[in-house]
Amino acid sequence: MADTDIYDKYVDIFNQKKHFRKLEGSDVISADSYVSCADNIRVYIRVKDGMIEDASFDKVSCFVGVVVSEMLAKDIIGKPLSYLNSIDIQHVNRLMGVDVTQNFQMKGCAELPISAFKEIAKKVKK
Amino acid sequence: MDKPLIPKDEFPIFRNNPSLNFLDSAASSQKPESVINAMDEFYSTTYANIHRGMYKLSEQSTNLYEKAREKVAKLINAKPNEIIFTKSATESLNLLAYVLEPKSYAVSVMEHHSNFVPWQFMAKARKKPISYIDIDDEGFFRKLPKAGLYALSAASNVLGTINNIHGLCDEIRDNKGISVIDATQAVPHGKFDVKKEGCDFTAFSSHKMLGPTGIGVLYAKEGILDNAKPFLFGGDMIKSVSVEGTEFSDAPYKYEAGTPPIAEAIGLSAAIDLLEKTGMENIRNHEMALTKYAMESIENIKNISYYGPKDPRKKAGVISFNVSGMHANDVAYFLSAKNIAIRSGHHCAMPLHRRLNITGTARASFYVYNDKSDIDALADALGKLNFR
Repeated sequence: MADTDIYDKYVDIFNQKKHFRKLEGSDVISADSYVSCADNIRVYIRVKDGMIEDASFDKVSCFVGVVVSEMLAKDIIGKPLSYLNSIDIQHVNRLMGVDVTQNFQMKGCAELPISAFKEIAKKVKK
Repeated sequence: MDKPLIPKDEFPIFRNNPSLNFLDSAASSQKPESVINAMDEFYSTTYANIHRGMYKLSEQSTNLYEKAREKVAKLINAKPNEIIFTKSATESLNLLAYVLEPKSYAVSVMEHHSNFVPWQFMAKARKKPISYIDIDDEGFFRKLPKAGLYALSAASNVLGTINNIHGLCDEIRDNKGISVIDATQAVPHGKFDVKKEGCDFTAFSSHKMLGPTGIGVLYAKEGILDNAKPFLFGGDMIKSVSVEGTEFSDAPYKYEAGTPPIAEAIGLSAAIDLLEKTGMENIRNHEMALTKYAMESIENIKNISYYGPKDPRKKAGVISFNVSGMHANDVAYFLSAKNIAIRSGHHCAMPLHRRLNITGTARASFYVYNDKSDIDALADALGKLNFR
């Protein structure tokens, strides 16, 4: 899939993102940045009885970073906290139906929310 | 401006990709056939290691390498023994950060990381004070503080701002300081005379001036490194070695340990031939015309703002801009679909972006193979940008 096809395929998710917001009353916040394109994402989750009750993200990212953050936030809601340990770039590829690792820059942008959400899992364990 | 200063068909990349609008020369320039051929011919007919061979090939190879040094020296009005070949401008600046030991440092917030991080690291490691030189909104340096060493760029790789290096070097000399000028965005784009500018050190790279990657240049004013320690140790940088100790060569050889980038020097030499044949003043005028035209073209597009000087006479051929509501990466991705190559992000200048209170920019930059049609393609594509 060409890079621009990703934009065509996910433009609705980008424009109608539902999880791009600060999550009031969140239990854990994690932020990460991708130095190559100056992206900076902050993710939030709220946990109840070991289950992820809500998730969101904010700050600055490009299209791919936003789409992956949105898809991951939607994906992890309702899952046990331990589910965060299973998310990786292959998981994102499956969610998107696109191999984002084919483009070095896009891979970096996609890895940013993955790393931020995984960092949350570590923080919760502590 | 209506046509390239050097025809595109002299660059194999444009013959292979005729619709390419390459607007990323501030990151690296394309390579003309003359440079590729010079390196190919050297490897095919003359290659041997330099300096210590008595045989003919080594002698020829040495001559070509030293002639490249002479050519670089002539380009910037230096003496050959003031030219040190390194692997990159970054290495040139790191070399200086390692061997110079000033009492204090002053670095501008506009610097590329290669002229910022080494000084910041060394100041901290050596427990010496470091101050940061602020800029105005167009990227002109504000007042210089008192310091032992000043690291400044001749032209910003983000804003394009051309600072008055001659005046700054005068002021630095009055302060009894050492001037280190990153001229990576200046030497390839116009006449740069180290004697006229009055700087102590100047760094630049080959790959941004039609030459190959893998070779950088450090100009060091004659005698200034006589008492400085070496940077790397090995062959070719010594006068004698014994178990009692080692006596080092003088500059430039003291700073060229090991087998240097020989073919790359020969490629750089061919690049300089082409640049000088084209004329450095002509290159500057061509880029200035393109920059003026690009600023006028972009100004009329809704939701676009650009940074740096508004006067093209004070600006190198670089325009950094943002499109309201779009991440710079996405702008670059969309332009890529139209075969327009620009760069996005912080361009290795995070302190500058923080100073401007922005996270990143999209950047178009121009060189000898660009013409009006490249700008028209850029403006046309920017005018049609959206997520639908």
